[in-house]
Amino acid sequence: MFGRTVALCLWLAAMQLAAAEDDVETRLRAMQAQMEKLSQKVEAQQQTIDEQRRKMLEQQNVLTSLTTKAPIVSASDQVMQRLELAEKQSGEAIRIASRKKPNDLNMAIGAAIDTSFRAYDGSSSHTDRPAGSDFTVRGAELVCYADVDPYFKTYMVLNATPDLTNNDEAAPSLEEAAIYTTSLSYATIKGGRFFMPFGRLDMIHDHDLPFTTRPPSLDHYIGGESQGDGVQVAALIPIDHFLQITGGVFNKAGASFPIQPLGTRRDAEDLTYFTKALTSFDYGQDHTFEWGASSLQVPDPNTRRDLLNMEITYKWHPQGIGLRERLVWGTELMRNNLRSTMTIPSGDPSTPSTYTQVSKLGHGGYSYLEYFIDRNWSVGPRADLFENVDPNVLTHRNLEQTYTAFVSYKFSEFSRLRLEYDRHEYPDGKKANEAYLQWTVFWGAHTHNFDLR
Amino acid sequence: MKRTTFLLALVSVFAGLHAAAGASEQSGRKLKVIASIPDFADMAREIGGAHVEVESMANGTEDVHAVAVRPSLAAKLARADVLIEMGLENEHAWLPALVEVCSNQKIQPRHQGDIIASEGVVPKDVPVNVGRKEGEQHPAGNPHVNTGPDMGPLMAQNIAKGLIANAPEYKADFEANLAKYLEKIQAKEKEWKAAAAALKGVKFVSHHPDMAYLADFLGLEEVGTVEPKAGIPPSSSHTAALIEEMKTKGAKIIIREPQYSANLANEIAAKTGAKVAKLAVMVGGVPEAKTWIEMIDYNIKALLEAIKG
Repeated sequence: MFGRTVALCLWLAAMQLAAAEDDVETRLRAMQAQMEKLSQKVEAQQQTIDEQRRKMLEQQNVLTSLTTKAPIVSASDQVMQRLELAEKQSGEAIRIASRKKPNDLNMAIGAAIDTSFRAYDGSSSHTDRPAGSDFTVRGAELVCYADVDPYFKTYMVLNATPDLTNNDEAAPSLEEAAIYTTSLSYATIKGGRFFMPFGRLDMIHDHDLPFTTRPPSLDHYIGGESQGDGVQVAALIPIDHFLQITGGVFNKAGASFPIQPLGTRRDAEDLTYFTKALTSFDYGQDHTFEWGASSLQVPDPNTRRDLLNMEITYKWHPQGIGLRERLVWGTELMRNNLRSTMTIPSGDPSTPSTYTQVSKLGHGGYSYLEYFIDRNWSVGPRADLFENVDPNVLTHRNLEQTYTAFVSYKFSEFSRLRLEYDRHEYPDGKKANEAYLQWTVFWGAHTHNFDLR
Repeated sequence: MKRTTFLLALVSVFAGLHAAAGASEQSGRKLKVIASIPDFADMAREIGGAHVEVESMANGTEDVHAVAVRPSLAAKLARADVLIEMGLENEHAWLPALVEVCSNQKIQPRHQGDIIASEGVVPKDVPVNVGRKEGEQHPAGNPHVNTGPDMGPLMAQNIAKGLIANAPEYKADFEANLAKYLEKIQAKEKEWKAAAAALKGVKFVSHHPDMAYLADFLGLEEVGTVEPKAGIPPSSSHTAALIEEMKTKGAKIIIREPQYSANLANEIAAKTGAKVAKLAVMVGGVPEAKTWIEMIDYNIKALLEAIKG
């Protein structure tokens, strides 16, 4: 029994000893592996240190060569460098300061008010306003314009004019709303509602005219401004000489070209076709002649209209003898051939009137002179004659004549007083005197477009 | 039939326009330069040399803010490769209308052919209050940069930069010409500075506020202007007040620009004892000012003559 116990103990001891020997060997191997890794790390670090030392030496060599070869930056050079920097920065600051501000993205807005007092000793049947004394706000206009994008510009004009049939209430109406191109070479396409450049003064708003009243011949043949809804192309011919050709198609032109009533069909022949050629000659620096020919045609044989216009403008703008002393002579001559319906009264109230198609041919025009004495004062006369082409006006003598004298005083570019006297001789032989005192102001955004030259 | 004729006419016009435009681009002509004022025309000739054909729209005796809008100018602009303008709204009353109607894409605002000669200038008289009550203001500052004797290099450099951008093939020539021109200006500037010593502190009035850059260079002191506000014609009450102010402050010179009548300047001179000096505000404003350098020369001499009495 003792022997078996001793043998078991010896076996266990031998087993433990064997296990201990295995453990030591494993630990020794692990230690050896760690030592190898450590040695590798040390070797790598040594390589890094050697590399850094080499680089430092290289840099030291470079620095040494720089300090020995390159000139030392002097104090004046440093000042110059700082000045150049300051100049660059200030230039940039000026550029930024003069840059358009964010609110410049809004449209430009301008306005005009045109008021007048009128005295008229004729019959109310000859005019739109009552005879006698009359104060009127002739127009209150709001103009907005802006670039749309790199390709188009747009503008809109709202104008409120008094309506005598509604107790002189002045409701704003859309006078112009147009879009035009800005990116085409030598040409501009315009569309919407606008005043077509028929003749010289017909496209100009009332308050921008050189006189208070629109020439009666233009008023009779066109009917106010040459407003139309349509599209127009204006091209500047790329030659040495100024030659502008314009063509367009419109529903109508002005109030005297009646619009096709609602419910009727408008064919191409019922539209109004507009063409114009304008040229100009300079004689030295002081004299300019402009000559233009315009045509408005409605081809429909039943309501045919053929209105031709020839405009001549002479401008004398002497240089250096006094600011804005100048002279303008403007003339427009028209030939108006139209076919329309004439009412023939029966003479008996129980019998209805009869209608007939008539053709009427009329000639008319005006000529005026405006002499700008200085920056404040300008004076001039105007004569206007036209044959009345109203199919319902049958008189032995259908020539209407108006002789005008006007004097304007400009306080500045934006405010003006004007006195105008008109002597009328009507087709029925009656005569009348008319006088205006006009007070006009403009404010807000203001542009000088080519048409107002 | 009429419609067909009308449409055919329109198509023909467009075809003609495109053909003409194409032909002008292919013909390889000299760079056509149009300058708003004769000063820039002179500089463009100096820098552009044989590679440019230069024309000026305004002449020296005109009011630069109210140049006559002649249709012939639109025709010239339509054919130009480059437009040189002052900027700072100097030409705002007449040039934009012409540029718009000419439809020449090269010279439209901010396009490559539109050179702003005043770019980078530190503008004088930038208004604190902007409004019509203050007259015909230039919100970006006084635009009469060309009257400043020290403004020549800036304007010349801007013009050279613009010409190079539009005709890079001539870069070397433009740069060489610019260098020569700048040398000429620098040599003159020394003379002008020497002359300025005699004018330092001298008080003056001008008709329009167009002498700010010249006054700054010479050290002149502006007492007022004959116009009550820029662009507003003189009134009798303002003239009376100005005469009193000139007497009080001892103003010695009335600068009369060529585009304004001599009568009022002479009348003020008679009442104040100041001397009238007719100065050019643009090249060609007086016969002696045929170039920009000659204009500055003449203006300084005229001022020196005036203080001599």
